[in-house]
Amino acid sequence: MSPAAAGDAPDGILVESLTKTFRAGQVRALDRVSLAIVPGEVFGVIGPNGAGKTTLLGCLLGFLRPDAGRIAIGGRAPDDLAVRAATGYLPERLSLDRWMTGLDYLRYQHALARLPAATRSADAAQALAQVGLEPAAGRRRIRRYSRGMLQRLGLAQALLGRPRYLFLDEPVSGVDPEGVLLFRRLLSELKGSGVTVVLNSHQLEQVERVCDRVAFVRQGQVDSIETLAAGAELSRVLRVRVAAGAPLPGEALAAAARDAGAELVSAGAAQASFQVPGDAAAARLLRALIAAGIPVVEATAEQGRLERLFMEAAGGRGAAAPTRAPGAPPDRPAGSPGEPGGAP
Amino acid sequence: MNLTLIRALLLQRMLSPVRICLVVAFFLFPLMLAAFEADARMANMDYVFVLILGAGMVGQDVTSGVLQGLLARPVRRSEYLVSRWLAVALGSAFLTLLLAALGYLIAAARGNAADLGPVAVRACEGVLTDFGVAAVLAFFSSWMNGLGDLAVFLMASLGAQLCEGIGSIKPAWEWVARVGREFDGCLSPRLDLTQALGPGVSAFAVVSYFSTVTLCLALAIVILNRRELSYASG
Repeated sequence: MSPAAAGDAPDGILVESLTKTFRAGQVRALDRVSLAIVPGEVFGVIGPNGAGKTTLLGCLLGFLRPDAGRIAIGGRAPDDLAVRAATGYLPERLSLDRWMTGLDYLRYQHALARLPAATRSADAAQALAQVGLEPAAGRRRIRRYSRGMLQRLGLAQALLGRPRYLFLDEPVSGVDPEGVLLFRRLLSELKGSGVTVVLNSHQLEQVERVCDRVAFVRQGQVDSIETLAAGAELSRVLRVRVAAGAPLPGEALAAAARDAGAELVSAGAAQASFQVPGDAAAARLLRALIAAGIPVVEATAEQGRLERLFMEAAGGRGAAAPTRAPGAPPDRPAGSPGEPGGAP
Repeated sequence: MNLTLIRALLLQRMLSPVRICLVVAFFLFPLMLAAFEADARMANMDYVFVLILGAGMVGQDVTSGVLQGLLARPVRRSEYLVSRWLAVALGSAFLTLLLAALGYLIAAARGNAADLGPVAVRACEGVLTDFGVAAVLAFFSSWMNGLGDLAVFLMASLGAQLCEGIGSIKPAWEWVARVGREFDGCLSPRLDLTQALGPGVSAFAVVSYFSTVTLCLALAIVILNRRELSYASG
């Protein structure tokens, strides 16, 4: 779908030539970024530190004023109250009112979201349960919450009122494995109900598992947008393990790879690695190996698809840093604006 | 105005041990005086509750990052700011009135109570001062992070008093004292209601008070509207 088509569609998010600078134009955090997120899509934003991901999210939420360009969320400006009423947001740096109990906090957010007072307590309790927090945890003051519990509570408040747009900044940071599974399930349910999700995360495996598409942001620009949905063809290395002691003839492996449209990368004791261009080629390769009498017992991707794409992109284009105007001061040693640990 | 925000700020202040201790201390001190004086009002401490309750009313939310989460909700920045101002002003006004009432009762019980009329008028003046100083603090808080608003307010007050002091040394320096008084008037907008019992309050004083309060709030809203809420924007 073209950017214009997505933005004009109800509930679509359109970003056109978005530019944002800091320090009087010395640091260009976003440089003519254009995106089109279709309704009901789970859209990931990844990139190295300082790439401008959080700045992009800040602009989408109306916290930052772009220098140039346009953002339309369902055809409206991001700071339009109607957009905010339909928005859920989980910030990366979770700052909750720690003097409240979990349930009080959810009721407070419920009231701020202008949701009906009649359902306030029930909705708060339901949101708490939705993120796997016990009722007893809801009665506890937030200052006593662990990092993972805080993250769950943050997600619960973002889900209040069934938002149509959900902006999640590092949503599973500090969450235990059970919480990660819960997050995936929730995201799947939200996707099923047509919620448009923008997910900013460094955890590539999670992004790969939940996103339909992902944008690689680098030096304030969108490098590429990859489709991750089922059926997408992404090149990766497949590691095949065979039964211990079984012979592993190099010629047979290479022939099977050729037949499948793959390439033999290496062969060692009881395992071989193949470069495969996509899911279909991986399946053909496994069939060819078994047909050749090779006792395959396990086949695993050496890297996640996204991880591989990320590494390829990072390797090919040098170190990450915000684009600077001529004569601009150098970066601080750690981080840069727009990312954790960056300039204040 | 947003009742949820007003209630939240008052609850937050009530659960802050430091602020509660300060409120109790500044509450008890004049009451002890009331046992010996005609009333419990202390001329230079009548807006102390505004400073205790209001310090960091916006700046602390900005620093902690709470404001981002709040403004992701359908809440206008102007609505947020006016609600914070009202919460601080109402909380302080309640404490001012309570203090005046208790002071009067204690003094009356000891048989040295003043006339009720002037005490009531001074209590009302105190309430108006609370609303005025809260507006000034809201203005400082809209552009200062953390508790910077309190620091700026105290430094500015000190500067105003210094000017008044310097101006009183020589008659030729009277203009310095005048500057100090005007500056102090801006920092703590007041309305002298004692004349309400007699010839009436001057229109100039009323306009001056309300224009200062309105200007502070308007400037605070403009500044807050222009603020970018991201750690990337510092």
